[in-house]
Amino acid sequence: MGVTRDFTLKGVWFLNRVLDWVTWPIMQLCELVLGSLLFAAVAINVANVVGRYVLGSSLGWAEEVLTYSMIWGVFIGGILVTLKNDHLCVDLLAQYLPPLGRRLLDILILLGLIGCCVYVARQSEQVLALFSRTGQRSTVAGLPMVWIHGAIMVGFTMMAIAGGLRLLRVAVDSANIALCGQPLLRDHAQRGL
Amino acid sequence: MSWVLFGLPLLLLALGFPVFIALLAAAAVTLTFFMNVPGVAVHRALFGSMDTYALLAVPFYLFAGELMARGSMSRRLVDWAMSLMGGMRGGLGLVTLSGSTFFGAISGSSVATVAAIGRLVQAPLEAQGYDQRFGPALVAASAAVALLIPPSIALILYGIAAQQSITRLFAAGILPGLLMSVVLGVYIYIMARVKGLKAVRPFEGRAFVRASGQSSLALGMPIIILGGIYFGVFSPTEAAGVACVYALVVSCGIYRDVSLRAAWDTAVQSMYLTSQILIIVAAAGVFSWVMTTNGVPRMLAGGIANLDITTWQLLIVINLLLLVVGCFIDTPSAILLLTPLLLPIVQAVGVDPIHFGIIMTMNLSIGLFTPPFGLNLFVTQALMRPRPSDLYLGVMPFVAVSVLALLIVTFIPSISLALLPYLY
Repeated sequence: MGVTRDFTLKGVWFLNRVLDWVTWPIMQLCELVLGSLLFAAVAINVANVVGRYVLGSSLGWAEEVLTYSMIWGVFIGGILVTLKNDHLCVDLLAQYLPPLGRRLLDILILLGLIGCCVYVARQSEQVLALFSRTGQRSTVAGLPMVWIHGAIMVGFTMMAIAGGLRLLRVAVDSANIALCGQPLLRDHAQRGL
Repeated sequence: MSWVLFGLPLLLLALGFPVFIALLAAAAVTLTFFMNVPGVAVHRALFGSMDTYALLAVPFYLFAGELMARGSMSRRLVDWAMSLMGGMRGGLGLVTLSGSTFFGAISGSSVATVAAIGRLVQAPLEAQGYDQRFGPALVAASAAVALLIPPSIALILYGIAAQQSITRLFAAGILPGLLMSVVLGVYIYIMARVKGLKAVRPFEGRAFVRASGQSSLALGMPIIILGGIYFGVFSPTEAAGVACVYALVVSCGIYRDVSLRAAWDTAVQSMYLTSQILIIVAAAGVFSWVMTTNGVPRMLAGGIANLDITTWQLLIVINLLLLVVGCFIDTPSAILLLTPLLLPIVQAVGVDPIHFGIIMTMNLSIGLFTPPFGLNLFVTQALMRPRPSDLYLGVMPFVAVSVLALLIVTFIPSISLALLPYLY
């Protein structure tokens, strides 16, 4: 019995490490894109102001490009937030549950998140198919609308996948709690302004 | 259908679902089962609510504020306030308050203000005899002023949700923010006399001039940013971009107390926080569209009109609701959830939408330090380690005097609207 328990425990730890290896590069890539987007946005924004007052001409495409890059930034950040299970929520109920109950609630919430993300991604796919057929472009910068609106489909698809990875992690954690009473994951910490 | 639109989000929120999922799920269920509209409308509404240039100000102000909190700008502001007010009885309390007010004027974030100012005044407060009940409560309450003093991320979000000018909201926040500071300052002064707290050091003109010189770059920031907005030099979003460059140049280039690596980490963290907030903006856009399409705001406004309730009675009820909501739900979520519901109701009884934005933000700012779930209380607790019971008891008088300021602002709209005619 003890040997089986040790073997299962080792399996739980191994799965947890595998999930670390899978999620780490995704998180690094998201962070690289987010930091680069912010610095690029600041540079374009200020270049626009300087251009208007110093050179007498502003960058006509700046507002469109900045707005669309922010939309991409929000959904790429959403992937990172989902991987860290850190979306803003009112986590009062979880505080009164035992560790295993908390993990079961996490599983329910993640299933809801995955379902919602898949629903939005499927609706978004239809809109992208339409833009792809018509070849519509943005008014000023002339960017293909399929790229711009693609942020929603890519974001929600990746959030569903991130939710799936998180779900596996919570399942592994639940197994660990059942085996040795100790959680591997830190509990969700609410953040805000 | 109404049970889905109101009941489902409340149930999901209570269970601990992310706010954006609670809103999206309610909208998706309503669309699928009760409306004859294709689901692609969800995509349109999601994109439409994010396709706003003004929202770019959110990551910019978060970045500028975090950068200044990491460097020495906040310390210089506290030193300057100390040289000005350290000679008064309870001077350190007033320094904490004015430091928070000034830091709020450059960061736009209340939590960043608690972290930046609390870290600096913690040891001096203890050394000066501010007990565990008064000192931490003072830090938590003072920082809430940052939500009203422009630039304020809360006011930007209200402007987006209510489709109001952010420049006008910023101007409207100045006098109520200062009024709240004055009311809190009077309370701090009275408590300092009651508790027999001494002045830190006598006022010296030379020390004041020296501190002003050392903090001139930090003090110059609100002048450049707000002056630029109010005199029409740049839009609030452009001003936020200028604030980022200013904070980068001053912290990394002139003071050299923030490394480029730290600036990068701050940029990533700011975008991360932005994602947490703006994904709710996107989902709230879908929820709001579903409600509007089904005529819910019109029904609510009509229902209130039929109740034969006076404007002041309605405002009291809404203030109570917002105070309670502010204790449980974070500020961005509360603004984005409640603005589409409450704005048509108050507009139906003739309340100015700009004035209502200030009332809402002021309520939620009080919620930030109201027990048991005010976010500033958690940050103060993590930073200063008071016993929760001491902090909760200590903060209650601050809540009471802030509610007094709230009532003044609620029933004298000209305090919020007085500066609007002077905008460029």
